[in-house]
Amino acid sequence: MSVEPEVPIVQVEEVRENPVLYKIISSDNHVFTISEHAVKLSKTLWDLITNLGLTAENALDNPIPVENVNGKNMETIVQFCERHKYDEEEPEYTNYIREFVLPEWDRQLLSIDNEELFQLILATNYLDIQKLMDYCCRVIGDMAKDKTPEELRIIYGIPTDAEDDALERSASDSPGPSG
Amino acid sequence: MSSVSRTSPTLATLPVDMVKHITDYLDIDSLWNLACTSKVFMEFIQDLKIRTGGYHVDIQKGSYRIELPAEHYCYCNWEEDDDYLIDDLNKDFKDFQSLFPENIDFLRIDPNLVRNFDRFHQECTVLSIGAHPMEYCRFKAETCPTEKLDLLLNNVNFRKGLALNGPKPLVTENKKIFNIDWLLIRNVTWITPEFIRKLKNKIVYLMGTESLTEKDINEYLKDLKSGKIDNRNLQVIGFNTGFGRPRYDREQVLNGLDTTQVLDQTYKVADYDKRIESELFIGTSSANGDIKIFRSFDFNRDDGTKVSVEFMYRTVRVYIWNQDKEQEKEKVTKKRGHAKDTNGPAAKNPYSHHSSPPPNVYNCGVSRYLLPGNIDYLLIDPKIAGKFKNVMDCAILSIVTFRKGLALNGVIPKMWKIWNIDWLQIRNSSIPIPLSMLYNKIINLWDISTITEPQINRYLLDIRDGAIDQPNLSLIQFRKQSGWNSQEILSGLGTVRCQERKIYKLKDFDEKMRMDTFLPFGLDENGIELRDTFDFVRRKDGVKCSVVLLDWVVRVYVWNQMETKKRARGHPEDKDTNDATAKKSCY
Repeated sequence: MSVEPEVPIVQVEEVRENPVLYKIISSDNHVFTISEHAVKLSKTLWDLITNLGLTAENALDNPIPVENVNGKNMETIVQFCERHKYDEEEPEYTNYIREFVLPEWDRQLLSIDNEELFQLILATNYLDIQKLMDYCCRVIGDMAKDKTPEELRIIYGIPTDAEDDALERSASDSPGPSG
Repeated sequence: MSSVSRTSPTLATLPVDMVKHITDYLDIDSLWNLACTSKVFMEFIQDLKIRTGGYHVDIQKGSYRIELPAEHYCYCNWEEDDDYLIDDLNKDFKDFQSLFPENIDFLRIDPNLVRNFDRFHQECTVLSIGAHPMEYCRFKAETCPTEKLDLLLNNVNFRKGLALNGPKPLVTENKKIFNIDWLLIRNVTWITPEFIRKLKNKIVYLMGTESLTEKDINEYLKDLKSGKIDNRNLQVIGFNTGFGRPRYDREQVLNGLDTTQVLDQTYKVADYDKRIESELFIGTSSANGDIKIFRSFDFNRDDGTKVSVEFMYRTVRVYIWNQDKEQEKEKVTKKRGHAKDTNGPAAKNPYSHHSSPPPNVYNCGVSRYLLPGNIDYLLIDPKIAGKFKNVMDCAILSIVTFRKGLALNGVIPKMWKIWNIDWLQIRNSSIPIPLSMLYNKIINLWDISTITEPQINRYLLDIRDGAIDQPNLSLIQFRKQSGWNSQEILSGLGTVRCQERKIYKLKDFDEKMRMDTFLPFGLDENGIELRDTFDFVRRKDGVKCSVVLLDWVVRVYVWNQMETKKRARGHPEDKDTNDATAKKSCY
């Protein structure tokens, strides 16, 4: 039986950088730590960090509250950003948008129920993470493949014309805030 | 999206920009089904005005197809009853149009629907009636009377092209066919010489021209030359004798036209529209409308416009170089054979029209003093060649006649030291060529009646065995219009057939080489791609030679581009050879 030499295990990412970490608090008070490279994928967060003047020294002492995103979605977002923080900028693929294939890791990450997915896409929109937005749209688009209009109504939560009219009528009949 | 918002998000409650982003990922079927879910989504997708590219619609007896080629989308439907079939097509197409409002680029209608021709009122870019006879081999084809055909032609608004395919002759003299830009007619057994004189189209292709003889085409070309053909639009007209029928006789077609043979030209179709490729209007071409003319017989119309006549198998195709006057102007400033000259060099005038050259032809001294520079290309009529007594230095000297070819005799070769010049081309001659004495780098021997297959074979054997010492040779080509017997040429050479792709780069490539036809078409500073060659090795120095066999050209490329050490054939380190695994040929 061989004896393993005692050497410290060093994560590859730690070798690549001595990361500056930031703290984010979700709407339901979950705290997440995210590296500088990862947080840069969110234009909203990075603008906030820049405007608040957070630095490597004071970053962890000043958690950033994000009130529009719950803990579950924030966890997905942080995982996504950490995974893709070193990605090279992708070329515009608008011409081949329908041929673009979602990487398997990301497909697994986004295998969540429809309601969560729609909430995630809203959170992504708020945090302005372009790549995650593209990926979410791809997943939502793929749901429509080979589905009938009736099936699409259920999947996407689309009311029929009659339901829509009825909802609109009841909304207009109900008294307004002042009423 | 929905007019009423809900608490938990759905596609119907997402912001419009996000829904639009999602629709970018939907294919045509999914978009259609999404539009069918509700009025709101139907209007939303209509408002997106999604660009899908034009439609191709094809209706045949029993079925129809609606395609969006740019989206790789195809919708098909089957219906036995002709009336219902046409109703369904109209309804489906209306539905598609409501969501993806694009034009019909291509509409094909089956002549077997002749009884319903009055029900087609579409607008399209190209109208195609019928298809190649082969597609009807299993079906009975209806005869299409002229009055019914005219009804269809009058009802359908086709804007650019018309293809009357058949399978049975579609006979009409409807006025629309004479004015449409692109016209293709198959089975033109009924066409007369008078008919083709009435055409005002830009691109014409007549197939199965049984009724048109060489004499008819010759007379048409003569009328074209003299300006009697009243069609200023005409760019290309082709005549195809039809499958299984003999080819047109070149001599008879060109009789009395004073043509000059020209190689490797590129004809550019003016105002090229990609939709022309939906039918066989211009035969093969590249995507931007450039047509390669490998060999043509050119003459000038009386108004100075060049005309090229190309013979390709059973097709005679006539190109009129009047596409772009601006390009013509630009061309004047270029030298003949300029690499960027897409419209080809101007056809040369037969020298027989000039009894003597202009007086200033010999005296370039003044202009050279004012504009110092070398002469890259000097073109001399043999009739006056004797008067040039070493008065000019030039990179290329071209001596040509346009009627009988170059008549080299015992004096001129000596005078011009042709056997030692770097690049040599001799065309249309009957003098014996001393192949073993050639010390040139590039040699192009073109229609030399004295060169035979056994002679080329002997020459190649001598190169292989070192009996001939031609250290400078990079490329030699033998051309013969009537074609070569390749088996005789390769006999006993022990070549290895190599079908792998390799790039041959010419040592000391000089752009000036392209001013005349020294090089094979496609060989430029980046080299030329060779795919199927018969290779042998020069025994004295191990240099590989690749023989390329085409119908009427034999080319020998010598791979002496770098210092080459003698090594076994197919050595894996040999950078010039990719043929280590080449199989032994039968020669």
